[in-house]
Amino acid sequence: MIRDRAEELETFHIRHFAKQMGERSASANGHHSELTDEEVIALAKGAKNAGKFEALWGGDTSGYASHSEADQALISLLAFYTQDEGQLDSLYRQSALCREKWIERPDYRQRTIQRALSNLTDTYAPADDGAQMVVGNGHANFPSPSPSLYKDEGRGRKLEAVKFSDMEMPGPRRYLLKAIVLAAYVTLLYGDGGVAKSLLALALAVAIAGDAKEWLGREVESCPYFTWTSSSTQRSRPGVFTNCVVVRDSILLPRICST
Amino acid sequence: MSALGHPAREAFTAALEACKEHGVELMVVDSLGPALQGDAEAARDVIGFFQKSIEPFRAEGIAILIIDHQSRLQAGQSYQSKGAFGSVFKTNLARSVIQAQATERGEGTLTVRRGRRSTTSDL
Repeated sequence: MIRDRAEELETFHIRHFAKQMGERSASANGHHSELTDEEVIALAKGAKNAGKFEALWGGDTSGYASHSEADQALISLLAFYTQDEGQLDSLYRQSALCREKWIERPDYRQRTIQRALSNLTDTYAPADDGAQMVVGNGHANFPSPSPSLYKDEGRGRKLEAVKFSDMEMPGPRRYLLKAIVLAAYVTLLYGDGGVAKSLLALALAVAIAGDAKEWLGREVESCPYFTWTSSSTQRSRPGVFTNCVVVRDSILLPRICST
Repeated sequence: MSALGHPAREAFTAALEACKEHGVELMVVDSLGPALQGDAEAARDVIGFFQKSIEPFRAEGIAILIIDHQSRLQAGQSYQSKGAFGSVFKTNLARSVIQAQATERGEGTLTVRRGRRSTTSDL
């Protein structure tokens, strides 16, 4: 006779394999967390609401009408850091709140996690990584590019809807090279190797950095420039970046570094 | 400055500081392949590069001129129909796109035609 030992097996699995799973946990809802379980816990313990987290993590349900509400509160706190259902489940099981109801009732687990995800209004974003926001019902957790178009506008600002009629009319476009290179935007210059792309860019930059009023028949706006070049472009050391800094009227041409 | 031995991400951070210090308004990235340090055909890598490495410059009001390559011509393809090599997001995330094409090669001379599209202007 083979006895049903599913619960014991699950306990064994959690005890011995939860950490490995947490490092890149399986994602039931298609989300893969960038953070390990340990990182999530450390972040939660270092947050402003760390007291609340630590109490729940330690199994303290005081202040909640029921254990289920405490479960919901803990999952909601964790969901700020990870929207990976598998990782949320794994994390909860490591907490002292974990109980039979969670282990034996997949419907309860899923409902609790789904409620936390659907109520999300914001998610954790690393300090150097721009903003990550949840838009809409909370299931869409796509990193959102910073909304800033110009200097400092938008960064760290809560998104809000505005009417076009309330917006100021944009001014004329500002070009560094008339009708081609827009200020504060990206211009892509591409082509086959050997068609003088780098030379063109350098010539344009020199024109812009100098006092030239025109370049190839187009108006230019004078401003300093900085050029980033890789030594692989100079056909020497692949993948190694070298230097070239130009500030207005003084130009330091690329120098291959050999240190 | 030299970023020898540093990852591109760190070098971009240092470049941004230099740009701010000197009031730079145009940065030329020559070229995208080595700077990307990822898979040029992967949307995730390209979008991530623009978001993490390029956007901070734009946020400071700095224009970026990126030099890139295109894939080799296949039989039956025209030069003008070729886009930048890899993910379409390279061009989708650029406001202005220019294709350089050599039309005449002489002794000591090279004639280059500017073509392709721009989302901004009268190209």
